[in-house]
Amino acid sequence: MPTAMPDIITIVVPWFGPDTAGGAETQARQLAAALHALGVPVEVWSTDGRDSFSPPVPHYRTGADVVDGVPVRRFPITPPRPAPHEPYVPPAVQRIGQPADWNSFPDHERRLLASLVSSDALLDAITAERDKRRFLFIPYPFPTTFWGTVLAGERGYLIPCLHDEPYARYTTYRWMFRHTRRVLANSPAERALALRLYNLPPDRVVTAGEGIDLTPRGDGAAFRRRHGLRGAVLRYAGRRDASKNFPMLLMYLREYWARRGTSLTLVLTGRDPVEIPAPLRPIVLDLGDVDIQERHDAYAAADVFIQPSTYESFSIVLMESWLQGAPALVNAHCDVTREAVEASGGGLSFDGFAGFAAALDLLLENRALRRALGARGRAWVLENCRWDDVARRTVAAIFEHEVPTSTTPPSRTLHIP
Amino acid sequence: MTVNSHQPDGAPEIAAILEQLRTAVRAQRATRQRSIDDPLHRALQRSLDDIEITRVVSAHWPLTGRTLPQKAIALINKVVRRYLRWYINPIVEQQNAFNDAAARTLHLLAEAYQELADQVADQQEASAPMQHNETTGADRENDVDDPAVEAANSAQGADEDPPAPPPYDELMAQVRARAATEPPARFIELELHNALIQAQSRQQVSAHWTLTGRTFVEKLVALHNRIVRQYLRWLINPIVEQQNAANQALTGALHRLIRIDAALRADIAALRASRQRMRESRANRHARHHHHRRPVVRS
Repeated sequence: MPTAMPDIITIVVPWFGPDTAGGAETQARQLAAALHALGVPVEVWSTDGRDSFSPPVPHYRTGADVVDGVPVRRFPITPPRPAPHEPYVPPAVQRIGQPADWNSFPDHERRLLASLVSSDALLDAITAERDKRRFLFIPYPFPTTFWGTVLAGERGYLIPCLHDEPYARYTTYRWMFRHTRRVLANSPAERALALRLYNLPPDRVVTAGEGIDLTPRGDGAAFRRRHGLRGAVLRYAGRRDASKNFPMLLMYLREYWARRGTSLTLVLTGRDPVEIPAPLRPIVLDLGDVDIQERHDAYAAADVFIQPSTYESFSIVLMESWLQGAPALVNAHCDVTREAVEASGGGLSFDGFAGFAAALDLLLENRALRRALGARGRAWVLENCRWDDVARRTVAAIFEHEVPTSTTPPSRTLHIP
Repeated sequence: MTVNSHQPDGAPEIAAILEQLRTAVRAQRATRQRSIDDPLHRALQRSLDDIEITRVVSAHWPLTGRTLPQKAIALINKVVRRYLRWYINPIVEQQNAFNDAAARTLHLLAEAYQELADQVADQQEASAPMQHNETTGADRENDVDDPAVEAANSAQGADEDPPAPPPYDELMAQVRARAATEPPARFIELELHNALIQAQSRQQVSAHWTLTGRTFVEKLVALHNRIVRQYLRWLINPIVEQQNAANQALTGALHRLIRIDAALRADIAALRASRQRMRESRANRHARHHHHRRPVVRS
């Protein structure tokens, strides 16, 4: 396969490194490793910042590095423009001439781009090495992606990690999606959203899917003993902010607890700080940023994994919880996670508090049901989230080969056009 | 109250729903009555009305004069105001957008406060009969992890392969049936969070937006405006900066009030949960007494 592909697949992501957190960043890292394992020439380019949870300052050493066997090149970070974020066109783009539509984009949309982390040096390098590479930009909102696709032209591909959020409707991003050679979606629902929002030809958006590490084995009993947990264990993982509906989860859980009096604990992991009101501390165990084994032990200990977010393109944490056999309760307003639950049969969905309470009742009063749904979820993940399959579909999408039928996932919802 | 969707004829479910509706209507009536009777609430309502009346700042008040010199000055002022509207109006509009968001947050906070007061009153009313039937410490200990519940749960397939559960659609039908009997809940804090985010995103009024044009004439006008704005910044910038400081202080106060509201709601939830556990404990004791051992999750 590599002999027919002289171009280096160059994954461009704002942050990249062993201690970088975030869904898109994790995806970039695991996809790079999977492409490398497949024997495909791959590199990763990023800024020298740490991640979106950290200040926009250098964290990693600038220059060449190797992560998981994959060559990495880090460029000096260009911090966000200070408020009020005057619109900014990077020098590399000024040299080739800014897009004709630039001045027609609304002021606040151009200011948003100026308010996010970028790297002018990285964009210069895209111009310099454009003819030797195929660029895979991830995720969609950042200037490294927006300006990168402008500079890469026909050699630009996009893994957007698109959510149905207000930014997705900005004219800047509509323009970017329409000027990118191909869009690689993480799920069928994300593909449908991209087609719907940007009115793209169907063959311009393919579902390459996403994988997870299938090797971790959690020990739920040990986790419960370690933390002295009794009663029902509920689990949430990820960003603890309004964009993920975390405040809603806390409110729903508080009301459920007040109405039922059930003995329960919500186990949280995640790097960002969270404020739990003192009276809720008996039912919330916040472990903060934990190592991989502890994270998977916590999934394995869970009676129910709850994913309240509607801003998902795949949901790594949902797949990780299924891998450990935890049944899921997802937000019915999120097409991505609801379709995954429908396809796998690995859980239930809720639409408002009444549905949340009813679904929790149904799951918590029946251990056999929980185990069976968790087993279904695990089987689905083992079948649909293999990185080598995702890497093959990614290569096919970039080099526009036919997708081999043997790598097409068997799920009824995953569809490669 | 036990609401169970496994009833064969559905009649108890209908009775339960009707009872819930009656309870909700009674609660609403009581809330309205409490609000009307409360002088503090009436004063708050008047303040909110005042905010509604005054929150819109106008840059276009009437400019008139009686005498000829006054009329001449008014005319000059009108011309100056018209000449500077490209500069002043956007600033005023930004401030109005913030005022609108802040006023909405205050309205919601007032509603949240009233709802909280109602919850406290409900708990006080509920506490009177509870005191007559207070459970013992031993009861509460038994209640934490009911051995009967544990045993029943453990019996449900500890190590054997789980039986095939119903398909997703069937399970969701069960969820919907149960959800239909769940008393309604309003989460006013979610509305508050959204309103606060709106206020925070609008608190910074800017006097320095991009001035540009496409045609030669537009570009010339933009250049002229930039020069005028540069000259007038001694006058306008300090006003905007003072207003921004006030906006920021106001959103800070709103944020803290919302946190206090959340803490109080959590307090009441803990109280309600503890009362519910007591009721569960009594129900379980009663069930054990009659040899009906089954896990009780909801009541």
